Amino acid sequence: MSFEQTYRRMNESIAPSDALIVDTLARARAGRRPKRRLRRAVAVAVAAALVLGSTAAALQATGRFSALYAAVARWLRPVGQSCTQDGITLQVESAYLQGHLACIVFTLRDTQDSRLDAADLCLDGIAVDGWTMGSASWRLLDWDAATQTATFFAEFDVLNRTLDAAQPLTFSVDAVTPVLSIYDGEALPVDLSGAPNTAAVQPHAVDPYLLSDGSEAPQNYDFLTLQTPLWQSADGLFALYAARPDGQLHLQLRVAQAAGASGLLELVDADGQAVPTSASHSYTDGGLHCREAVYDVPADRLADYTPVLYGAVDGAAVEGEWQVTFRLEEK
Amino acid sequence: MDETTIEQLVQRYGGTVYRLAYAQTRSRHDADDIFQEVFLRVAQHRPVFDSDGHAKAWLLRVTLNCLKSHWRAAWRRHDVPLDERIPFPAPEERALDDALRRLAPKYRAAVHLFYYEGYSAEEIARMTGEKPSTIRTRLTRARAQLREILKGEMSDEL
Repeated sequence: MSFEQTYRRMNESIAPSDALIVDTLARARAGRRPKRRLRRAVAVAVAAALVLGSTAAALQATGRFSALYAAVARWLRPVGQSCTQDGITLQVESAYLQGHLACIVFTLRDTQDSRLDAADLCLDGIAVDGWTMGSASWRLLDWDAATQTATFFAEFDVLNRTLDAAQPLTFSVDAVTPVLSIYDGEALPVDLSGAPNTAAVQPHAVDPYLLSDGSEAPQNYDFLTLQTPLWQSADGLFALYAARPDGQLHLQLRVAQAAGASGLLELVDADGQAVPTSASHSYTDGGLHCREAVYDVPADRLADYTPVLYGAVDGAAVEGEWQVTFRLEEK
Repeated sequence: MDETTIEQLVQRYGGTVYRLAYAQTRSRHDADDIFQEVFLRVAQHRPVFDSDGHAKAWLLRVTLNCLKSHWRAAWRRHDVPLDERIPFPAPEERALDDALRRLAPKYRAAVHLFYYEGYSAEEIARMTGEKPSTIRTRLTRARAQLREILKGEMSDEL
């Protein structure tokens, strides 16, 4: 076996997982940030904080924050600068700057209400001074209900300038959106074997779309117009419909986009493996996003398949345009 | 760029982006991060492509830029745990995977774009913003290192 043959063969098996694709497309659609794993050292420190039963914010107040972040202490230096807008205080707790990399631990505290009390928090317009090219990622580290304080870790890779730790740096966040509910790969409790063999349809215009064989989908598609959902979320914002009008399984997810909901559906088999679609189409009308996917699965094994939902419902964003300028002190 | 176009790009080039990310990082988790970063940049910048070749080259270039940022983070320079590897079934594939891990990341990208994607040194240079001679040097050094590491494992000359 030659090097080139071996190299090509081993690469043929390398591909993104279906879950990664679904998550990426959902984030692209919702304009959300990349999902990043915490770096190992930070993850260890956060795990230590959780084991001790203390919140990061409380630890900061008691001076134990630095000790628990020993693994990253050589990077993070204390800052303590803050800014309050619309009753929410953003405080930069600590930071690390080196070359093109900036890491910032910061808190958001609601001093007037409980607007940050949510399943997750989504930040918009997060930036460091002069950042126009590069990438940013952030992660909610902790939530302290007693003080209504959320602690975040943000990481910036700045491509168009070199950061100077001796110079003042401005960190800003434009808005924070509470995420009211999250479906992170939730298996929906439905039995697909009850899907009807007939269903009324209604044509809707769809954007040009690639079919699995590489050809383009038609400009119009006949979407199912079933009235009774197979499953519906408790808030009524997500609804699943199913039918087998042409011998293939059609799964349709209707999402109340106007109410802040967004989501995607995946079908998995008994082994938990994602089933590829033979076609899928979507349209948006009157604040409702409808996506219908077609699966070629055996009729007598429908009960072995499970729809899985990836989605979220956003609450009202708080637009504060918080901005903190700080300079790192020498250690 | 609308949702459909991103889906088209993911369908056509998702594997290409992911393979390059894995080729350089040799870590599934890091390749996941890079993959998502690249396609969310596409969603953010909404580029317009005049051909498939243009789209592919643009995505590979963005992937290389993301990989550059990736390697700047100090904590990524630690060894990658075994559980982040892709388990290759054949012995020669495992040997090659081990050998590739011992190459510098910049060599891995050049090897991948040359041997898998089939780009010339000149085309890789345009993508990475470096001189063709730099790419040829990297390929030569990568071949020499692989030849040394893989003594007796491969039947052909690298």
